[in-house]
Amino acid sequence: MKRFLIRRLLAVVPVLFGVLLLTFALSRLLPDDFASRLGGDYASQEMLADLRWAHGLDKPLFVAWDRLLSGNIAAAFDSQFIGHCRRLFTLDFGRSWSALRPVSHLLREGVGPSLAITVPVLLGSAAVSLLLGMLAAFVWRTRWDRWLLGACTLNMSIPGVALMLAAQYFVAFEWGWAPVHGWAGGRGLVLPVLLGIFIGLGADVRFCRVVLLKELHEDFMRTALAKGVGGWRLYAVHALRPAIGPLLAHWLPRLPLLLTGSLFLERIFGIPGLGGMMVDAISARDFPVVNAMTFIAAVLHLFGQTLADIISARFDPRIRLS
Amino acid sequence: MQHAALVGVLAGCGREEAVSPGSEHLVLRERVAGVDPIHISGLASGMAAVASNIYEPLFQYHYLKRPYEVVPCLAAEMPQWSADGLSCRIRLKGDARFDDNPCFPEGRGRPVTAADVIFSWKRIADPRNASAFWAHFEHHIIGLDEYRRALRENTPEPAVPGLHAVDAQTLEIRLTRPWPQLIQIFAHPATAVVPAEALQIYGADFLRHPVGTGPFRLRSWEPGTGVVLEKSPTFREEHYPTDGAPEDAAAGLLADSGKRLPQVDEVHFHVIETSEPAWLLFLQGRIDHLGVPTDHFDDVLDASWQLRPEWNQKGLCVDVFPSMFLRWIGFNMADPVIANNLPLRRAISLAMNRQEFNDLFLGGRCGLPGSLLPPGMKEHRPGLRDAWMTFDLERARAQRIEAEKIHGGAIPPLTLRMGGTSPLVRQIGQLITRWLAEAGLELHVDHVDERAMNSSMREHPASMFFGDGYSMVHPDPTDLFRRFVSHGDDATANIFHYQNPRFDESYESLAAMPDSPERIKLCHQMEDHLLQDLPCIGFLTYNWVSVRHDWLTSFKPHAFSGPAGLIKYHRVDGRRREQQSPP
Amino acid sequence: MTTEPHSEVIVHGPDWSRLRQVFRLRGWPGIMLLMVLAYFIVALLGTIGWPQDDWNRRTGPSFAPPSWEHWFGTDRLGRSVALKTWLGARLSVIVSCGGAALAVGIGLLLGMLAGWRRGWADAVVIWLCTTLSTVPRLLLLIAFSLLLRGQTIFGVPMHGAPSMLLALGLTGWVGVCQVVRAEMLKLGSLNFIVAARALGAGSFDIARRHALPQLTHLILVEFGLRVAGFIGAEVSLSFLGLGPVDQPSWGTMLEEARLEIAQHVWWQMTAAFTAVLLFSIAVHEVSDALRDALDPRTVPDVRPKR
Repeated sequence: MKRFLIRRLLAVVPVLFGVLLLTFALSRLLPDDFASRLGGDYASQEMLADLRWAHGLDKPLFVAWDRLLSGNIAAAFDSQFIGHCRRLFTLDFGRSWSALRPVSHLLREGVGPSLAITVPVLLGSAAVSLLLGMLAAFVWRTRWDRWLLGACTLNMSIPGVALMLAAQYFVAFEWGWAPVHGWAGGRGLVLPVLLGIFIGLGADVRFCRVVLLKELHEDFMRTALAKGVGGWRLYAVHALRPAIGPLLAHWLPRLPLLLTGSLFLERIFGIPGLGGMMVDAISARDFPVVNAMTFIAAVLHLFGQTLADIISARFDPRIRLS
Repeated sequence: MQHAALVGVLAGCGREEAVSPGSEHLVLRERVAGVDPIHISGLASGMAAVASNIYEPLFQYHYLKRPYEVVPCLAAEMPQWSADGLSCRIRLKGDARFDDNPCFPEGRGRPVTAADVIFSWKRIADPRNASAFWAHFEHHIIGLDEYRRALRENTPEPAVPGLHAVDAQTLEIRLTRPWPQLIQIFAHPATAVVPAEALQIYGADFLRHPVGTGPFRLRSWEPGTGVVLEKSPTFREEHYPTDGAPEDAAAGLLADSGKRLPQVDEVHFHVIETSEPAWLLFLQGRIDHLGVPTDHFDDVLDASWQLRPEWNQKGLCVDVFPSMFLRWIGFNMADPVIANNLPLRRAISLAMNRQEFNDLFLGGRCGLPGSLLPPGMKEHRPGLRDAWMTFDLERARAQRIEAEKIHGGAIPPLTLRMGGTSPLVRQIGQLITRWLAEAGLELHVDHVDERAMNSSMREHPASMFFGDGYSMVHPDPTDLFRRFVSHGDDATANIFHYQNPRFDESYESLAAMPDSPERIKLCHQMEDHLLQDLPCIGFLTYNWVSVRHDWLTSFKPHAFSGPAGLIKYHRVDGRRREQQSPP
Repeated sequence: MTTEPHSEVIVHGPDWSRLRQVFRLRGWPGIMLLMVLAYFIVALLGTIGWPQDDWNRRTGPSFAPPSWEHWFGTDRLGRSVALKTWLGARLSVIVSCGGAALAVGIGLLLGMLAGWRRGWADAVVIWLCTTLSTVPRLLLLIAFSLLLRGQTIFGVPMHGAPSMLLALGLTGWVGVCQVVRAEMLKLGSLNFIVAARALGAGSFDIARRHALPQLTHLILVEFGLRVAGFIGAEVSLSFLGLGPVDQPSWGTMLEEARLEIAQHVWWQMTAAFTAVLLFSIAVHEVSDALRDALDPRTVPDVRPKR
């Protein structure tokens, strides 16, 4: 177990490096100059150079070769990329370029509204899809199964954004069952959360159904059946237990969705969370914010995946940690 | 039905339950991250609205007089200029003090000194602060540019001889060149005075811990939903003006003459980014004053810009006033197809159906410009209607044929660069494409991010652009004309790539000239020059149309204070509000 | 570790005869296939400009409700919503199919390379896949779209359709690559390929002649899945302001319609929503049917009998 963990953690290192490289490359490749956005109408070239300097954008990208050759090693590594890595690893994240405040403060403010939506959505969608998946597996090869599958396809076919807009129009605006827009906590959350659960439900139900069916076809299940275990008990205990591994492997890597998952809901319903903040940050080229969010999301993803591996090994005797 | 739904939202927005009698409720259309004067990006921004009630610069604009007139604010009187116009002395008010705050010894605020003013302006110069307002200071004050360079290069800070505290209350400014616009620059909220102690104690959190000299101070900050300010108990004695524009007495704007400011106890800014909830909140009496959303124009106003009678009975008042803003379409005068072809530029100007745009997107509230200097400036000529700044498809086609002759063949497809990608901006682009197609010209629209417009026009210009337009920072024609100058320090603002030595020369004399009839004459000549040469087309002048409840009085819209207005002059009759608005 | 629940290897290839059986005309998938074809025809007609290409023309007053004259009403600029919806099909088809083709192409190439060559090539490809799948997909998509916008690649200006197509293709290949790689690893040990290798056939030649045909069914299934997903992605991107400006698209129509809600203008939203929904359902159904017919990885008989 210990060796498995160590190997798993070591495998994370190159991936994290890849994420750092990717975010860095994207932030430097995007075709416009942050300084001239900040400078406004009248900025002179000299002033633009100063603005770039103030945000460390005039440093060398990776390594200053001339300084390295002249032996000044500390100065040679004072580069944008090293600074980028250092900020992310020390969880300092720097200061937002457009909001001018430390990124960590912005994250702290946005995390509440985001979690208020994403936690119920993730838990709710897991619960509902598991239930419906079990139901579908239970009624396998009957008419009901076909209806359920059809409903799943229909659900998967509706573009999420379009559904949110339609729901905002009808449910909130025309029928007046929910607030249209704005962050008021409580009641204002119901519609976004329900939408969040509903969107993407089809794929999850189908997934659960297939996982459960597969387990039902396993040999030990036949044994259980032969032993006279039947009905719901069969599902709840014998099929669900080995299915936990694949199910967790499906859900745990979604941990980053806790932060970014409600992006469209936030945009449409005017909720001041992290998802909307990230879209604004991308379009304003506010890279300290974008990079911090990406990095946290990647770390959460890797964490979820590792956790899923470990848990599935514990629950399914067929998997050995090798 | 929908109203019921929205009320649900609003219940959340207006969470501070009971509306206290002397408080004013306003809407901010964007989230505000924090306030720091040196980072104010525009006068209509949310940060400016909050900051200008907490912080004060040395000068301010007279609340009532038009055209705008600069009067002292933290300064005791107008500056005393030397004969050569290269230095001036400014005395500060003796009773101006910073608000009580834990950052001061024993939590007691202290008087504002000349050193504070110098400190605040050096912050603008400090390159580490990356303040965009530096562009207005650059090259004017002796030693300040050197100071900036030294900080940038990490060399010891030099003294700034141009900024000198003669004594605690007197400031002497020495200039490298005449700068008559100085007082207007020092009336901009970005130059407001901040205490060094607050920056030292709060550091990066200074944005959320403002400490100013102004009529209000911060009470609470609710991220994403609102900001509440309260009357500052230490605010010096300042009074409502006793004189104003001729029509002010009739409008009741002199009713509070001589009363002590501020007249309201609290200011509540509600952050509501979409117009519909804000509008309903206003109708419920939870908001005192609001710009009329375009969709509700016809509900509120009749064809002659008067309030409809049913609204009158409800006790609403409407204020229409021209903002110092001109929307324009600029040409890239470095593009040979455009630059060498005046008829082409005229054809494009004539093809613009400005009224259709006004009706479709702005509820018809805006004015069609006759010239470039917006109404509200003393240099504006109300009678002037430029012959090319109208819509006339026949003449546009004729000019296009003329243009084809000059070009020697069909005009190649033109590119219009637009700032922003919102659906409205896209529709505007499509509308302009349609207009030009009707005049026989092909247009491609190229969208860039709003704030990337200037840099993109500098670096890889398109043939035309449609940007934010021209919003005045201070009411002086140099603010407009510096955008067309092709050499010297101001040339970077010239995204038209317009080059004309004669115009540059006139600009230089205009910039150094103190206010006089000759200056106005020169200014008109320069405007005529631009209208003749057509590096840009006037598109629309913008009118602010706002409604308020009649319990909000002494309210006069002001172009240099943002849509919220100058709150310290406002008065709110809390009892009337209680009587009229439903609980 | 794989997240696929049905990763067990079944060695026999796809059963092509099932394809015809699944898509027989009277069945539901057959109808859906016809619908997809109908959308393709509409897109094609739109591309050649039938019934007309000039969608930006004013055909009536602003916000005219649906009537005989204006079937789906008009928008703010007085343009026909019906025509915009009709022409929107071409963008949706081009972006979703083109993006899917690109994604499958890249995934196939890298997956084959990794599974065939093993060693460092495999390591690099796996690293790329894991890195890309670790970053939130949407973020990557937005960043790529922004990156591409305004560039000119091979003389094609990147705004609207081309940039969306490229962004979707460049971010959507990871899944394909993983599937293809696994399949290649499996194929590499099979007798006929080992034999071909022993006979001295070139690596590339074997891959093309022997391995590629074995992957066809996978490619088809993955392609179908991606087309279905990318229809929705086009809407999302357009909603974020990254859509086309010079031609109508359902995503931009929805975004415009959103601002018209307050004026009770429902027709533009309804038209665009219906168009997307029907296309998406049809593609989903067809891709599901494809998967059932061709994908040997599906648990046998998991789909109910029709």
